[in-house]
Amino acid sequence: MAAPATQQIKIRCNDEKEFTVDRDVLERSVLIKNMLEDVTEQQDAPIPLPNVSGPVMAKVLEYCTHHRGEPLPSADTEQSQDETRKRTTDISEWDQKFITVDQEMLFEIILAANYLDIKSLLDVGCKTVANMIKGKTPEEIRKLFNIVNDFTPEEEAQIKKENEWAEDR
Amino acid sequence: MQTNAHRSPVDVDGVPPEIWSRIFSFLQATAKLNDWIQITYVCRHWSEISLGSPLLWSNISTSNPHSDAWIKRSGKVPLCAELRIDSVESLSASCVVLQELPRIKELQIAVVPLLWDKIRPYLGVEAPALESFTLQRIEMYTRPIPYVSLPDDVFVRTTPSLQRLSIQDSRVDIRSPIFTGLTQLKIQGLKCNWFSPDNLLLALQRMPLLESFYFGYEFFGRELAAALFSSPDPGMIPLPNLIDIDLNGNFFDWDLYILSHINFSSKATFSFCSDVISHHATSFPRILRAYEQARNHTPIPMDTALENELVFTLEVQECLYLRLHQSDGSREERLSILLGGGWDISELRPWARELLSLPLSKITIFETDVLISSSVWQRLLPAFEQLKTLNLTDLGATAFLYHLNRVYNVGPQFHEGDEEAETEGQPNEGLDIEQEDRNDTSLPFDALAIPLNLTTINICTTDGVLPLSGLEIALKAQMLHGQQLGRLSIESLWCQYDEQTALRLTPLVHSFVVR
Repeated sequence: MAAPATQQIKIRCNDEKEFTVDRDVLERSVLIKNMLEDVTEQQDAPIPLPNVSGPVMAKVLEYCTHHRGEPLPSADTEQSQDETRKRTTDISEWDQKFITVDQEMLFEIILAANYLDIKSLLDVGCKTVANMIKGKTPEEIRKLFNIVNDFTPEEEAQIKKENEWAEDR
Repeated sequence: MQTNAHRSPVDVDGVPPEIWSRIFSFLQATAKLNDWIQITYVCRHWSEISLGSPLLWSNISTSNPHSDAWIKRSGKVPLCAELRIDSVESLSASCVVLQELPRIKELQIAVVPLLWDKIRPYLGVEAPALESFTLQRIEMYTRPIPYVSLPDDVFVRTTPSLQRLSIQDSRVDIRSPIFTGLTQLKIQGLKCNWFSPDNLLLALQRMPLLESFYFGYEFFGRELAAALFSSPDPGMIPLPNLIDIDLNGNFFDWDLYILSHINFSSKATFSFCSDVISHHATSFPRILRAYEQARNHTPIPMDTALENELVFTLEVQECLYLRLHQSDGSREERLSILLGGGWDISELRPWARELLSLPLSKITIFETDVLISSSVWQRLLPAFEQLKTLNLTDLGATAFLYHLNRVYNVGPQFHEGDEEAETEGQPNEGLDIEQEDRNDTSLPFDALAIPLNLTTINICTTDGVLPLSGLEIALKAQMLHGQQLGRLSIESLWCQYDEQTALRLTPLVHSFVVR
């Protein structure tokens, strides 16, 4: 007996790029899941996603397809997320390969995951950035992200004084 | 100034503060303090985000002399505090932190005993958020070693959320209500004179949610014996969620005693460091069952497997042990059970007495150098009458035979100069043994002249003189009782024996093997 056909959903990105995707893949996004649940009638018009570009959405869908079927984090899980975040910046091998992209794409994926409410993908992105920062001096971090030191000398001295005790710990 | 800062490759200014905050929290969780705190120096924007993210500042340590500033940055979020209190400075910083006890979620205190009393008052308030508490005594090189006592009034009725409790080298009242909702309990440096094992079991009974417990302890025989038998048998404790049991000490019997009183999950994992044995719960099923049945005063079913595995070992120092062996052919596992700490059977628990009267089919006597009271031997003897196999290992079996002889008055087979033998020994009629032949009776094997159902005797000696004439007496006696021994095996090293007597033994047994 053939398996029941999976419902296909259309989405449209901010660059007009459209994707037709299995509903269960798209429902990795809590935002889209809630939108689909709110719509009771069959709708042919694509769901507009004004904050995501086509290339970024393609990456996001690659992630969602790979992780389809995995349990979504519940509200409780999200509440205890602080605990998880506290303990590890480990990233699975597949996720690590997936997130090996240039810095612009990395932040685009993070922003898209945040907008689409895909917590696991957001965490993969945030952990990757955290790992990039780890062990670097403020000057190295500035260089990495092209940030200018906008502290006044007085402000810099003050904050260093407040954190003085933490040096070498 | 800031607006010009962010150019290619990425406009990080477009990343919302909550995402940076999330990134920083990962960093804070995994990097050293000195590493992650660098983010506050990068730019004003990052500094504002990090200082405005209370979670980043929710881990507090007394190594921070500015713990008050840290607490301020943490806003109202639950705190995790790690306090090492070994100086006036750290005491002062700790007191600041402990004032926040109502919102502390995880609390670790390591304290020198002399400063403990300064901390105690801070622990008497409500701690509704507290989920995890660790108390550790910092080692002091003084004698006697003072202990930190967790007093009754600490956290009483004020820790509804407490799930994980770890106490190291600290005296604790095991009856305290703080134990009630625990899922994890770890006690290290447990001294058995703090409470009896039965009190511990009763305390476990009040922890129905317990999933794992660890006891690190150091007991000594007399202490343990006194504690173990100081209260009524607590019965079985149902702990259905218990899946991780780790007993790390020096008294395997105590481990087994605790375990034998717990109805645990079949998924449970045991670790007994006390005897360098680690097993899954499915190990020793028959032995544990047998042990439980013995405890419940029901006879052990003598199925084939068990019959071949149950070995009685008398290994007496301060206590009497039952040692159970299990063998699957390739390896042998052992369990020892403490039967009693006294010299008299009246000091044994009822279930231990039951064990002594089990219809054992095989007995191995190892060392019996220490005297056991006659009443214990008396109790053992009915079991001996059911024996099929007797293994006598080394000359330590002397005491066994000696007592057997005393109880059954098989004599007069004792050595010259043995006063008790001369007064108590009675002639054993029907045994036609010339006394002059019995010049090698360093072991009174003639004690085995009692009615036995033995089919096999295995003797293994490493030294001394093997008294075959005594064995001759025993075997002849067995024949008189209508029982001929199936197999007699003697394995000896450096052992002298009389070949003439050995020849006389041959017709008394179906199979006589000397190695």
